Amino acid sequence: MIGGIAGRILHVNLSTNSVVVEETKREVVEKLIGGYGYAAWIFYNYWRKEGPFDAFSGKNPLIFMTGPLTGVSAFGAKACVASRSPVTRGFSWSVFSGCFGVSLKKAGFDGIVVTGKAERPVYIVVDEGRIEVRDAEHLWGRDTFEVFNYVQKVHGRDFKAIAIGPAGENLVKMAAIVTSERRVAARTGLGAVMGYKKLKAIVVRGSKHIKVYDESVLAELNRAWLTRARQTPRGRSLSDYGTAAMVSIYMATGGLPIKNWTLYAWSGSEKLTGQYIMDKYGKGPRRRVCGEGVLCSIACERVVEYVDERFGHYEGKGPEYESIAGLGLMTMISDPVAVIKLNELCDKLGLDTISTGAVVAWAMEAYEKGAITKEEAGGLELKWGSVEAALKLVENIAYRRGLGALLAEGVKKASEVVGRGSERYALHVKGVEVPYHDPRLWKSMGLVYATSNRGACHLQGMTYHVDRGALKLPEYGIEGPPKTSAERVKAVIVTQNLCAFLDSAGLCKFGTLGVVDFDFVAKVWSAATGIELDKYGVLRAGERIWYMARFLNYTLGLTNHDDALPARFIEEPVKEGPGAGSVCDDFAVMLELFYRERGLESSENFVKKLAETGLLDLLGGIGEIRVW
Amino acid sequence: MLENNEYCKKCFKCCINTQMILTRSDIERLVSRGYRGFYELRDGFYRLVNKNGKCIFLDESGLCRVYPVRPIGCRSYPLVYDEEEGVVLDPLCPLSKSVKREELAKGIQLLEQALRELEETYSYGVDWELFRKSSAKLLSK
Repeated sequence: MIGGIAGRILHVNLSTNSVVVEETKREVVEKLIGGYGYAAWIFYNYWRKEGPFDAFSGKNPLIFMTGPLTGVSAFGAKACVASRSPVTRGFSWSVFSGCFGVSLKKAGFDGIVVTGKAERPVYIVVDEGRIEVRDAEHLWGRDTFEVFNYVQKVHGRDFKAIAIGPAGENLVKMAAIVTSERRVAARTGLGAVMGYKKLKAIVVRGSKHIKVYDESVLAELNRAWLTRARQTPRGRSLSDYGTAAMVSIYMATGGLPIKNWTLYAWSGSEKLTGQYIMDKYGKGPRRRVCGEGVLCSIACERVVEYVDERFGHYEGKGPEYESIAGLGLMTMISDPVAVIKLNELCDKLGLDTISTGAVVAWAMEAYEKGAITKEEAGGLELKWGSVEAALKLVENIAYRRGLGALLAEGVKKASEVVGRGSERYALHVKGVEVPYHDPRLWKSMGLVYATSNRGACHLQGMTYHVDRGALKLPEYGIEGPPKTSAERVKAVIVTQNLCAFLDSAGLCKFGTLGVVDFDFVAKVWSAATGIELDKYGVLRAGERIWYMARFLNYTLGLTNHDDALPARFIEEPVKEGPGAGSVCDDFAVMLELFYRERGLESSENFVKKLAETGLLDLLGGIGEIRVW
Repeated sequence: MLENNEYCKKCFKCCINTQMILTRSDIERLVSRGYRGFYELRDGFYRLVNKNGKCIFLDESGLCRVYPVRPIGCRSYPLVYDEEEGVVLDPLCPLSKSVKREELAKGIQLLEQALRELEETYSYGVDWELFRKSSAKLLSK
């Protein structure tokens, strides 16, 4: 028996209304851990049986998966959703926290795989062991908050839910899946896959005890971990101001993505720091964990309150760094209340704040440069800093109205349609808008963004912390900020592998990186699951998951050509502010070294890597692989 | 069009003093792979820069540093478009006499794409009638 897992995975087909329960396989957990690693394996099996299929196809499985540490270890708050992305067109996943994953496991399932496509809107209820597909006609068109209110009223407080908003229903490419605690599986448009299936929500109640391998050892480790987290600078900073603390950090170093990445210094950023927002709008007790019963001593979520003549009274979640950067800095909206409002609107409509902010900022730059006219914008003046324009655009994106219909496709597609040179300032990798850690300053981030298997993502190798000296991993030979291209490549590969492990195990990166070392993480893993791993084993497992995702992308038709960094980061230095003048000048060198290290320069070398990591055995036969 | 040809790996005649024209997408693609300072405006077109009389991307061992992402004109070579003659095989290339029919057909497709990109980037006018006739002639040989 493996500890930490429920041992069963649920397959629900919405076309045939049938349910199949499958056993969670030991060899897959041993090799691919859980979470998106396990989901990748499930995806491949569907692909092998029923592929090829597109993102918007009944055959495309939408896989919700927990990790063995979800709900059993400290900081084990994560679950993930995985599928073929309508944005990257490759295999993709999005990780989210809150109670949904824990409840699912307590209901007796490690994951739910949704296939098929319902004829009319439905939602799935998993109540302990019972499964039911219910009519959701009355919920279709509603925002996510309304859905969660409904769930509380009709099903009860102990039901946890995830849902899509109007954006997902309208197949918006930046549509997110939102949890009842307002945590969001935001990236790569998986909300649109759910919308395509006409699946409005999944509602779960579970109360079973999750067995672990060694209860007393794990309890001891959990206690030590929770205490330790509050004693580290990383943990304390996150605890005090949440991720919003990054705003003032980047004000000092440079690197804030102001005005669609063209400025580093702007007086408006002072009102968007975590400190300013908390001092002015912070509501006691000011912080919150991401879900009831989640073992976390950091509690990165801020609670804010405002009374505003435009927006009325609000009390609830405050914006995180990425949302502040996307909806505030990128668009030059310096009014914190407006940013909190925009963030709330995105959560309600079910939109990714990173991509939404980026596409609004792109439209504003296009408007400034004359690539989008006032008529094309439906009479809206898309001026930098216009709250009115941003609010309207966000809504129009979710409902695909007017210019919003084009913006709903993301900056890549939108800039291809608009043309007029606007492709230059449409910043994305594999169609996914770039999150807000500047690769001109943190050069290794250029490599992280470009080679991430799910498109531009800061969470697939968090080297912005390594580059700025805030994260060391001495257990893997990373003692400080890398100085050469080769050192950067090493830091990227190590953190890519570690992030893959953490996401798949169900662990939160905030409670782990820079808080405990990976000898400790390995001990927790072994105590919970009974599968022995040391820090090298953790790294190898992460590596294997990374190759699995890469393998799926090659299989789905992506190639190394898709590892491209936006030209603005390479050719256009920012002129003013701290850090001015830098560009990601060694990207070509890093990429070459990276391909050599990872064995991606030729198809033969890639297959060799698959064999070395043990994936070839697990997968059985594989088809032809083309890396270029 | 002579993808990964063994002979090409020993010869870099077409890389000496190159006049290769780059399309907008060539430049964007190469920049987004991190390369800078490889293009300059010469005689009205963005062209590859020469260093010591050879293409800037040619490495010490005589191989192309950007082979998988090289410009589209390099990919369709030795097939070139002559304003007078239309589609021809460049006699400078030692392989121009021994190109196979399948390769030629593939090359013509690539060249067509290259010319369309050229039209788009520089508003360059291609005589498509000539393009069609001359490529048919080449294929019938």
